[in-house]
Amino acid sequence: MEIIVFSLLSKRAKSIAKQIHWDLLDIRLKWSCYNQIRLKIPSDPKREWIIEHHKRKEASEYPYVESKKYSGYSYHYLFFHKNQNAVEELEQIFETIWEVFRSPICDFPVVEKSVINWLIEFQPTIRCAWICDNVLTASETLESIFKSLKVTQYFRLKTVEADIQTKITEPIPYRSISIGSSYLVTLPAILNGNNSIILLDGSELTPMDINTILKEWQKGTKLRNLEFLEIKSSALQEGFDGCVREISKDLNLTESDENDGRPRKVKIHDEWEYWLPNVNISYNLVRSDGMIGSIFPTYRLHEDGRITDIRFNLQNISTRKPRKHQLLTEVKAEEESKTKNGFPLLNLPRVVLLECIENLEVLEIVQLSLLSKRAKSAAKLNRWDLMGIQLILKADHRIYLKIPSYPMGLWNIEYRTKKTSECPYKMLYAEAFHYFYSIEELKQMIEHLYEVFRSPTCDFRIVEQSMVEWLIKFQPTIRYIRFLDGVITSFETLNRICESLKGTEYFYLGSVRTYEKTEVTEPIPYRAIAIDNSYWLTLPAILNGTNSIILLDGSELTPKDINTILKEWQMGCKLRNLEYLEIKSSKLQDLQSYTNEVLKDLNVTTVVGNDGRAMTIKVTDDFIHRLPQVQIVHNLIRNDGMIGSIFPSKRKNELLFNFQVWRRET
Amino acid sequence: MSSTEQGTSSAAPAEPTTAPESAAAPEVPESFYYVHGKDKVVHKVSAGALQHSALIHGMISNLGYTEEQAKANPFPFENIDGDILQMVVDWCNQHKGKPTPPEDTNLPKQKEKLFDLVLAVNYLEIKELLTYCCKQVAMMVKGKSPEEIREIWMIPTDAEDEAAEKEAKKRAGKEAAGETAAAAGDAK
Repeated sequence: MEIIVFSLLSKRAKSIAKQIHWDLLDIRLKWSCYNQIRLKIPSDPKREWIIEHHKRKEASEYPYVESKKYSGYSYHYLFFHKNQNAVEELEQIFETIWEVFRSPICDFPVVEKSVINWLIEFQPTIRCAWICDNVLTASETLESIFKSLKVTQYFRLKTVEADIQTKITEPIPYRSISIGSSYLVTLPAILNGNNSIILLDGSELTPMDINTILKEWQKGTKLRNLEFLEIKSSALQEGFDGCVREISKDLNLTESDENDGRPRKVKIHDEWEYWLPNVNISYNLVRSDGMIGSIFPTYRLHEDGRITDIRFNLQNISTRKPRKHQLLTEVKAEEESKTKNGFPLLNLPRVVLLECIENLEVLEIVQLSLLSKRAKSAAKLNRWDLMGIQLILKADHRIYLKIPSYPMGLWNIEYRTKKTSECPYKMLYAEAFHYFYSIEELKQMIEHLYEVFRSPTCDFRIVEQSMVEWLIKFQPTIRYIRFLDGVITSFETLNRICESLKGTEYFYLGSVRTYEKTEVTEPIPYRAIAIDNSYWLTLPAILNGTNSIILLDGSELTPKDINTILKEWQMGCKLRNLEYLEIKSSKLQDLQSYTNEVLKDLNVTTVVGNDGRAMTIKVTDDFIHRLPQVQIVHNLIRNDGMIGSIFPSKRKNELLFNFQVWRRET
Repeated sequence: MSSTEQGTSSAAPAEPTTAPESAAAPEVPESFYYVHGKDKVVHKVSAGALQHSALIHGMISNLGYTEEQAKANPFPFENIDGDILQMVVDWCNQHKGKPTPPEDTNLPKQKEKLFDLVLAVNYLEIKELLTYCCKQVAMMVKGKSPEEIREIWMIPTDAEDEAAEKEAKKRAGKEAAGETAAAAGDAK
């Protein structure tokens, strides 16, 4: 108060007062309905400073200061003498205070028409403004207010002079509006507006109009920002039930009780939360984006039992208020509180950030990397690639991150809705971030992980043919690849794969789903191959290949073909890399005659039991193939000393031919 | 613990309340140095404790200050809050001449304090303490959901980052325009 009095003394006094940084106190300046200027500091809500004019004392005794206490609140008054120019004087004081404290007016009630222009000129942007009863006498003034005054939170128009009849057809451009004489507000003004809160008293909107509002809201093209709408209307009193029927016509409403989680109050502006009427039942309307509009019409009865007005409320609910609905001040407040309670990781110097990232587990890095582009860049500082982390895509779309040399090094990114305690792996559940609804998203996730961990996928189960082209482009060199049953539907695709994918150590191909009667004569160019339903793979494809391990199921190679393979192997020009060949054939044949045909003209020695060969074959790091236990083995010796052990067997309806190449240890 | 006292850099600090010096080496009197943070509170710290900080150790190794000179020339760390510098000094004193344990549970639990501590420790190049701090930072998100991680580590969304970038560019543009106008005014 002393500062205000001092600043009013002279221009120089004002300049001195201005040098103090009062703006740091965040003083809130209000003009009250009683032509008072009120100052408040949000951090000290129990104190208020009030500047007022009155005539209780002799003119010479003004201005004077007085303090009062009431219910723990302190009010400090600065009284000026009320004369004819009191409002003008107050405007001047206001301007001085505004200049000294560098604090804009928060709330401004227009009690006289004359101050509207002053306000528009002095401070065209204001948090809350309301026009008091009967201040407006002409509709042009209202239009000029809408055009020139920017209200950031709440605008209230109380009643206007009865001679204003021009309807408001254009939207009212403020976030929260409360209109007393709302017979002026038409349906287009509501529908085309961006208002979040609409309170209409004395409305002349019909039940049909309200029905239109609801339909438009549900469509989602209009009233996107609407949070709460209340219409009080005496025009609706022609039977409450009839009104409700008309309002809800052709709408798919669901009944909801009072415990549906709907908030019981609505924030009209920073300092006013509006309590909603208590109702036992409301009706919910759901928009395609998941927003719920809760409708609860109520009515008020006159003493004589007559319905005086009907209140219609539409409350828009979401679990989290969309950010776009938030005012800048709210966002700022939220940010400020966040700064107080959080740790701004991304603001750390890079070298420190690196050390923090190094302390994170694999799945924490994945979670961080998915939060934003900047977070992903930070997550990429991880050094798990030095540990040899590998990416594995399973057939059921699970992604494993694995470190072979690290006993606990297996992490699973899985898509489930519920956690289970049985799983032995550390998991990142889909509910923790998101589901993969499509193969596209799965591809994106793999690319993402590849980028974050700088680790190629080493083991890939392809479950859709559409992934082939993506894989060829994304990672044409892959260690282990499996095409599951029916994924490949043409030999053209198979050809493309064999031409484009390089460096593969293990290639599994399930049944090719095609009616083509093709015979493949070109070798499959990979170290280890396992092919189901391999009827199409011919003898030249085997003989001319450089494969080390060949596992064929459903083969149509004849005993004679196998005899050729053995002879070629013994000659030493072909199949130089062969370590193990297994051919399963479902063609019914007697084992003895089959063996005879296979061994025809070959100089083999027969051995009983195991004469030193290994009983397992390592196909991949995870796939160790166990060989069948047999009593008799036929050994074929190549001139370089390599032994080829032949041991055909019969299992159910299948004939199994096994050929294992090994060298006796000296 | 070090002693602290309110005042300017020329004020003579009080003796430490505890004497962490080893009893085995009494012959060579230990030298002390003085540091202060933003709050100008001067902390008296032994050269042994300051060895944890590569920055300060580098600064003092060739100074050869006498006690009086050291008192008269405290090292100013105006970018470090007083309470944070106090934490750092305490840590250095507690771990003077001792092998650092694998864990340190005495780090601040409040996230904003830890952030300031990390920055200070990084600036002062106290490697072991920085390692503890970084472990603590990583521990914050153990078992947390992505949204919780976002909140704890204040990770803005891409949209928020873009908006902030736009705003920064706008501000930089305005400042540049202001500078150009001022330069033009000066030239006139």
